[in-house]
Amino acid sequence: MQRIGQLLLTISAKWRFVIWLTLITCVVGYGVNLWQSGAKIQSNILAMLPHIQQDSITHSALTQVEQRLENQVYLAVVSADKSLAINSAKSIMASLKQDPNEAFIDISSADDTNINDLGKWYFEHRFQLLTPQQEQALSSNNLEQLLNQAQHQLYSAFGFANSQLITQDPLLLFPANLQALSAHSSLTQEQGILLNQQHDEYAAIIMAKGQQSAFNPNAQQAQLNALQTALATVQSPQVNILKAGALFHAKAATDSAKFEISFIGSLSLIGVVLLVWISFRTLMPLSLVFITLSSGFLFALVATLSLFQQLHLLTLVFGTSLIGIAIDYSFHFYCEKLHQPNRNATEVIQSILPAMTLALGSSSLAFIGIGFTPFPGMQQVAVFCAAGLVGAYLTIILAYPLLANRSLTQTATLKWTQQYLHALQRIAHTPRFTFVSVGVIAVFIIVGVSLSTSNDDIRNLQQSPEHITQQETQVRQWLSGGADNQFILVSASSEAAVLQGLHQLQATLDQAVEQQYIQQYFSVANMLPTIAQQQRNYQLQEQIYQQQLPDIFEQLGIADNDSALSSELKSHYQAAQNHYLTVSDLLALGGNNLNSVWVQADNAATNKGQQGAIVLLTGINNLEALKQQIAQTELANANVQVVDKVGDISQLMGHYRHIMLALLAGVLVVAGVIFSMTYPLKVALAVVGIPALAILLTISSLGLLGSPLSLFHALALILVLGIGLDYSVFFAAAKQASNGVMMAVLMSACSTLLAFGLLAFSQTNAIHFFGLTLLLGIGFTFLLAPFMTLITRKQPHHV
Amino acid sequence: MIDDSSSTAAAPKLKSTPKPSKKSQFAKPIKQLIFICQWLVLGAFLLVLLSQLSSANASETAKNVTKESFVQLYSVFDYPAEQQQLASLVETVSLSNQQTQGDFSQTRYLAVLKRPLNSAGSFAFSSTQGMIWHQSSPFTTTMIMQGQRLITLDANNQIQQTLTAANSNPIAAKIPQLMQQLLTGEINALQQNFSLFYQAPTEANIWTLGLMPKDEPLQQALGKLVIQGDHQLKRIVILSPQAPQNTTGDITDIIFNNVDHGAFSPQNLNWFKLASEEQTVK
Repeated sequence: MQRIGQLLLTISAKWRFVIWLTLITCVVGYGVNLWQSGAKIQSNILAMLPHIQQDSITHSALTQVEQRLENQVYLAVVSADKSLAINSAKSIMASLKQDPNEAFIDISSADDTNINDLGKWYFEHRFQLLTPQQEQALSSNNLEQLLNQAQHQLYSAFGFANSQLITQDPLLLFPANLQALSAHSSLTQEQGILLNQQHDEYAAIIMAKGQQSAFNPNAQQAQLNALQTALATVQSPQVNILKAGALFHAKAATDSAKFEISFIGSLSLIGVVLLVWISFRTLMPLSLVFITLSSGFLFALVATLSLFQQLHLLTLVFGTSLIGIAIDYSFHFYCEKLHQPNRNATEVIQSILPAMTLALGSSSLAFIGIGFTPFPGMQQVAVFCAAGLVGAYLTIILAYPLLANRSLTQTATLKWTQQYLHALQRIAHTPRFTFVSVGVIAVFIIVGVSLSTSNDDIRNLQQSPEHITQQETQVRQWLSGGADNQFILVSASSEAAVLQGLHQLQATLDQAVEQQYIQQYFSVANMLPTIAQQQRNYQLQEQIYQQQLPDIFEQLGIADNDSALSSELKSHYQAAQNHYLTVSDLLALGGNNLNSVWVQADNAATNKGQQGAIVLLTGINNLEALKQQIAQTELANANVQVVDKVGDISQLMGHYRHIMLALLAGVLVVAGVIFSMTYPLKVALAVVGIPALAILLTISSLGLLGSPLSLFHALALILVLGIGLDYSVFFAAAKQASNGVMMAVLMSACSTLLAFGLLAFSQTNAIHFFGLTLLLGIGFTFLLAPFMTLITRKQPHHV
Repeated sequence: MIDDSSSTAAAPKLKSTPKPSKKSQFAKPIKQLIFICQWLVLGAFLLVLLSQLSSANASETAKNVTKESFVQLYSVFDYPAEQQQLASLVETVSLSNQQTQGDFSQTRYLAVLKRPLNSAGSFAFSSTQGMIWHQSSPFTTTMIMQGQRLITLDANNQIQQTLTAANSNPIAAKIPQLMQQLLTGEINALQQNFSLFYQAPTEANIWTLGLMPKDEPLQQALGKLVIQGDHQLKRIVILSPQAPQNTTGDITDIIFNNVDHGAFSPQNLNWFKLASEEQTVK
């Protein structure tokens, strides 16, 4: 880099400018081309998350669950008046369906399963079904008990018994089986609308799927508009409509990111303008700073788009921090020029080039570190910032000699910063100060580091506003209970083996419910006995249909003219032999919801016939205990595992946090080695030591503030290292003439703090963590960096 | 399969402990899957009962005797009720009672049975505690409908079965609510679920109210209801969808006697207490 820089410096100012213009034109052209070929802005935080390695069946299961829930919007139309709730729901659905943009598809209330056919299917297979009690009674030849129960049912006005059922199921065994097959829910359906009742209120539930991702800005707007129109059809004050779904989170995220970008961006800009005005009493440098930053931004944008085809909104937010670093180069140039008014721009660049190149190198090193994370979003940030810095660097070398050659008037700022530096040096030479400050810092670090904790839970990274999460909690309650995105996956080589595995798992799951690890679960096993069980059930019913029918008819008083009824029942029973309830049939009858819990491996070549079933969990109270319990469960011919993507990602984040911190130490060592080749060992150690100390102080402060460390803190620390190295490198390079540097560092620290300090106020936790860490880190670095001069000053005397 | 005890234990908890809001947004709707899967089985059954069965080949039985009178009863469905009539009905009947008890005698005419099934017993209704349906002959059994649950007791007052609304018969689930609305004169609430028909009092001061479920599946499962009374509730007739015109139709005829609004008998109080305790214990 430095060699290229030196080479460029041999070309005349005008030609350099021509090269710069050509370069910029090319980049703009390329960028426009990229944009037209479909590059886009992405605001889904999930897209930032790392990819996890999974086996094929788990991957399919996760994909299936995510696809099902993707872009889904839920509405609960709540009213004390049931018909009002139903009618409101109907009008909302009608309006959504009529939306000219067709923002939503699959607008529904009840499930799309054909319940007629499913019910018929169960009834046709009634000879294969028995409840455990019925099984017990039949296997102990206790027909009396079943007859007794049938009598009870016959007399009850509130029961299931009617003539139609009796003629096909004289002992009335089927209702109990159906009760056993259906799990518990307070949801009902009326007029095609899914209803829930809690106390005196009714909620009609509407589901709709966005046609496009809620994170696509246009689709998001279209969906919100469609919803607004639809909700406007309900004017009654007695109706309260609750909303839930990714759409509303996406909207909040987009809004806050937009606000933050414009707010942080404009405040940084205002800050920088003020800073430049105060320092140089002219805004002329500002136009060049602007050119520098724009070209940096341009490079950053185009590089990111060309590598990733999309730009994450968070990258932009992090990217605003680029201003803080890229601006350093301009400030160093101007401060040096201010300090040495007699030299022209080319000479000034010549004199700061070594330090600038070294700074670019060290910052890039830090960014490359960030690029090692598994986060697509963070990789973007790394590319974005590194490319931006290169853009700024090239602009200074190529465009400044021509554009920034005008001389500057002296201002007081340079004098002030010199005085600050001298004051620091005086204080530092007091032995008592050194003693006290070392003591204080040592205690601070020991206490702070011992207090620091870590939290890698990714759910901490994005926190939507309370009114959204609150509504969502309410909707979830109306949907009868909390839901969790962890699930259990049972996989095996065949359908029957999976079903068998599910049944073996039931005992463990019931135990988990009993121990309150979970509140409830749903397994396909609830809806389907194993083939072996069905065979047993069929054989047990032989005594009813082949032997005891006349007796049963007699006892229950069923009319059987010419034995027509009994012979028909007999032939039905015989015809039902070997006709089993199978998973395939169930799935064919079930709707999307049911089908989404059955998984087939993606890769047919390597996982031939591999199948899986998802066991859905509700109200997980103790995931760890459940995981342990499942881990100890052995199924005969199937595998079982708890799939916890959030947990896995969180774990991965923790893992990478450790890697990042190790990388931090690694970069320090590498930087130390590099610097020791350029500088005397003592200076090299100080250059590395100052950012290292700043990092330690930052970790301690975070510990004292009670902000647990996450990957985002670690990432910010890498940036602190990059910027810290920047500062100390400039101080080290400046040696005796450190006055211009002090002013440049002051200015760049101020501008960086403006940018990063504001990130700390972000609503998005990930950005907040990042900003807070940088705020502290840059602050400490700024305070510590001037002490470099203590070492560099002494150097000439000793040599 | 989740057994009854654990599910009823879980049910109140869902309401009392809202989950923390800090959840990844795509997680919540999973619950949707769960309940829909549960629910569709229930719904399925409804329709089994209704239209899917091949027509029963029931024989002509003792029905003929009574068939005529039920056909006459059925004529109420020719007269849609007017608001004014309903208002006067509320006036006529001493409806604003919070509790009611009395005796019942019930006859079920099931087309497929040789003989009608006669039973008798007592009932109690409280707008806050639910309903007790105690059958004393020909055998003893007690049903307590409270909240969303249906508890069945045997002759020794031992709990035989506890069903939640979702997996019990929709008729059973509707009855306590229906009774409450009838007995407290909540005509508006009744109209949410039913189309109402009305025939003004005849010579014996007996009015007739016809109820047809608005929800098509419910109508097919429950059939229609005819209620008769003077200043008290006298009779409820449940007509299956096929009855009474069709011989395969079933009819349940319940006649109320000795209805009063006084204090509950100790036995009734005990049963209500038992049901409440069962809920709190679980």
